[in-house]
Amino acid sequence: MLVNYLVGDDKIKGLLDWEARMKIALGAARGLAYLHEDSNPRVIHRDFKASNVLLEDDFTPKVSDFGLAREATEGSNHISTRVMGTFG
Amino acid sequence: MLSSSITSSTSVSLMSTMATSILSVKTFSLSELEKATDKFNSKRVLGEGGFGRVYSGTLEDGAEVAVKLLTRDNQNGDREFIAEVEMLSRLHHRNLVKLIGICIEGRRRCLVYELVHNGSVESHLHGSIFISS
Repeated sequence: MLVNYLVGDDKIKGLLDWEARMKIALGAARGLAYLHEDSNPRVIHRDFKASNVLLEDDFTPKVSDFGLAREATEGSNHISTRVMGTFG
Repeated sequence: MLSSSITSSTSVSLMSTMATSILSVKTFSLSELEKATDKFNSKRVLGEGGFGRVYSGTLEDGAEVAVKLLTRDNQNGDREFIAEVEMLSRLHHRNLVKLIGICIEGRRRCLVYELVHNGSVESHLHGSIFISS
């Protein structure tokens, strides 16, 4: 239950073991790889951070918050724009 | 009323801007979402992003959802809203959050997602900001 994490239930605290962390890192990377390479259109998230990676009960990660996302334009004429993101 | 006609025409143009992508997501009325979230009850707040608060809710059919109520009431807010709807309605992957629907009513903008039950990675690493302080 989410409440156990929120109030810091001792038995549940520290449940982010290495296995869970690897699952989160790999899943989040797969999400980004899909966005960058396989989706149509290709997308740059531009606000990827821990608070924007949500977790299912089995620690399957879900990338969220696409408010700053932009389509990745094809070709090499990328123009560097201002620094983007939000605090966190 | 002048002001209401302006707002409603804004909504109409917003809908047509998103006409191509809107087909794959449901359109909710504000009253449906108010019902689902106990009128956006502060006890249901899951988190707060740069663009709005996120509330947990239960739809009439029992589906659990997360409803993001956008706070920014200006051009930038609409740009972010459109960006998010256009992106997410076309992106489908098991590691991306799923957009179920949207709500455009007057100046209100909501995004309705499938609820992800276990919080964010940040809340696991640092504890939830809504409890710790």
